[in-house]
Amino acid sequence: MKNKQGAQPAVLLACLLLLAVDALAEHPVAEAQRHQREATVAYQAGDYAAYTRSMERAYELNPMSYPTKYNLACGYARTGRAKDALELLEQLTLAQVDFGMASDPDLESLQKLPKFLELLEMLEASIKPINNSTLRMTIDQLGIMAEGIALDAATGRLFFGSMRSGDIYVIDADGQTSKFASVADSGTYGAIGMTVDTHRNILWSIGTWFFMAENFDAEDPSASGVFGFDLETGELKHHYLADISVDGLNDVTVAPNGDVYLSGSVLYVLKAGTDVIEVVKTSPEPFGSNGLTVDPTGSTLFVSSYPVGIGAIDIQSGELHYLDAPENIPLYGIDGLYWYAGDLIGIQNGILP
Amino acid sequence: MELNEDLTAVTSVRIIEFANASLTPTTGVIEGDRIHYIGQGPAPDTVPSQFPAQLARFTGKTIIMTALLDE
Repeated sequence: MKNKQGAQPAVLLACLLLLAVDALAEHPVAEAQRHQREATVAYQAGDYAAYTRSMERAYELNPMSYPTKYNLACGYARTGRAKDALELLEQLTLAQVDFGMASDPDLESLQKLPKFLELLEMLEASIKPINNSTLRMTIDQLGIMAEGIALDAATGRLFFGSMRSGDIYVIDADGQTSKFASVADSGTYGAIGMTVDTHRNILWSIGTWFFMAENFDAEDPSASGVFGFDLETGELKHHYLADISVDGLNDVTVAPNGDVYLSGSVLYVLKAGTDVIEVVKTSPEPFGSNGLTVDPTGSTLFVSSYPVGIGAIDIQSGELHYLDAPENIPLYGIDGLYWYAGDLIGIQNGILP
Repeated sequence: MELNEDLTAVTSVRIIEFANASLTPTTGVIEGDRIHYIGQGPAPDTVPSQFPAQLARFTGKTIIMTALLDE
């Protein structure tokens, strides 16, 4: 099977959410994923012509997918279309995306071509680590499988959750870590996205029923939800569950007016002053959503649609459009998404490196 | 990611961290002029037995990093 994305936690979580959307409707991205699955079957049967046809269709339907672009290049290489393969590989190289082309047996037919060697050199020169971060803390415990993090700016406390146990931990101002609350007290949930809601003095955490959670039983689905804990005591104050057919919620953010947005296979909002979550109606519908953030004017909700890019939703009209970007700036595979001083900050883990 | 005026396009990017093999980041939180982000380190050589084999790769330690956003 062709899986060039690696197996990173967020990637797998995103895939889980997308499969849920896939089941709901034949969105173009869902159709693309269907063709990818057909391609996989063809690949396993050694039918590279059929594999390439299916990948071509997948790529037509979702040209934003870098793994699809790479897999199509592999198909072209396998079927004697070196020029087409190199064209796609050059696009990936310019975007500093590398799925392991130097040693991929699917690209063996290209390996002595001058253009391929040139691309390898370009890749090696461009993919240099950039390090502008400092280590703040390592939690000396294996298997927490952390995903979300939140800050209580008033106290300097950081919160993070465990996708495995559902526990939420707090790091106090002295750097001491302790258990704060747990979404698992309410069901078989892993704790994922979270945020501090200064309007309500609440820590919101997504609790999602999914395979990483302890005691997960695929035959016994639970509705995912968002859980609100008192910021001081950790007491559960609110919880809102998605429709049982919604396979997973992912992240949460609070708009300037206090509206709480929930991402996942369906977008929800808990409007300020209300006590019910509603589906956010957009046109077109996003294909799943992951990280999300609202601009300071409260007019635009940005959502990362993992396999497509970043969607900008006009909150008033519901109109959604995907952000354009130069070809060498991949917006694919973004997990956390934040607004900072007029810019978007994205944490991208859906492509390599 | 710098945006154009009408918020329809990314016009340029500045990369804060790239190709750091010591963790797989997932999400972060902004504090003033910095971001704290969280991720998982590489899986240990020996995975504790309480974790099913299919989750072994996710058992690395939790790591929190901080980066200034204006530099």
